[in-house]
Amino acid sequence: MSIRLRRCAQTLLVAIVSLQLSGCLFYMNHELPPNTTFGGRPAGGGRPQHAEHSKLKPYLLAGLLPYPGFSTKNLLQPPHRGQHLANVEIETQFNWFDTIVWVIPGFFYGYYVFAPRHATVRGDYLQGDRHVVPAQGTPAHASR
Amino acid sequence: MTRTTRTLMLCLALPAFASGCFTVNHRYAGEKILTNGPGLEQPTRVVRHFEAHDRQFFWLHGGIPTGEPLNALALAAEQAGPHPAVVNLKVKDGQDLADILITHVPCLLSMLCGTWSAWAEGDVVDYTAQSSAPRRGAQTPGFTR
Repeated sequence: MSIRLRRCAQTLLVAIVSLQLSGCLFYMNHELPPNTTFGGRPAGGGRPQHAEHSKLKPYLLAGLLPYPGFSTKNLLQPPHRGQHLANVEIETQFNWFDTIVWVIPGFFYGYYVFAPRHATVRGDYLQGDRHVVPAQGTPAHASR
Repeated sequence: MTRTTRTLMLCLALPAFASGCFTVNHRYAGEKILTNGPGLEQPTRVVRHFEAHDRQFFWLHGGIPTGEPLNALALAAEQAGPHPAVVNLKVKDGQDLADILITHVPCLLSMLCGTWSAWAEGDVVDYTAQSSAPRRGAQTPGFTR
C-alpha cells in the first residue's frame, strides 16, 4: 500500500470516527425531575407557580467534547414536598448569542471549535403530591 | 468591493438572521397525559414500548425550515394512539450520524441546508380494570404539533 493511500485511509478513518462520535454526543437530552408531567395540566393542583430557566450548553469540536460542567439536567428545580411539576415545555434554541459566538466567527476559526446552544424549560409547580403507581409491566430499562 | 467579497459578506450575514430557525419547541396541549415518571396516579399497565424519531430539513443554515416543526412531545402523543397516557418519557433533540452527514457534506456545513432530529421514547399505558381514573385523553387524540 502506498504512503499516499495509507494517509488517505487514515484521514478517512479519523473523519468517520469523529463524525460518529459527534453524532453520538451532539444531542440535547432533556432530563427533568421525576414524575414531571408534560403538556396539559392535570386536574386539580390549585394555583400554579410558573417557572422558567434557560441555560447555555457549549460544545467543543462539533459536539465531540461537550462541557460536562454546563449540564442542562434538571433545569427546573425538583418540586418541594407537597408540590408537583406539570405543564412542562422544552425549547432548544440557537439564539442571538449562539449566533454571534459560533456561526459568524466560526467561518473564520473553523466552525467547529465552539458551538453553544441554549435550552429553556418552562413549567408550573402545582400544589399537591402526586402519588404515582408504577405501571404494570414497565420494562426494567425504563426505570428511573 | 468585489463581487466575491460581497457574496462572502452576504453568506456571513445570513446566519445571523436565520439561526433562530434552529429552534426546536417540545410542547403539547392535547388530552394525553405525558410524564417521565413510571406511572400515573391510578393503576395502569404498559401496552407497548416505543421509540419515535422525526427529522426536519432546512435550507440556508436553518433560515428556511421545511415541513412540520420538530416536537418530541407531539410524537409521543401520536404514539399513544387511542390510549390515554405515556410514561417513562424521554425527550431529546440533536443530530445523529445521518443528520451530521447530510448537514456537513452535501449541505456544506449547513450553509446550504441540513437536517435536525427529535426523539421520543417511552411506554404507552392504559388504565387497568380496577382503576377508577377519569380517563382523560382516552377519547380523542387531540394532539397538536
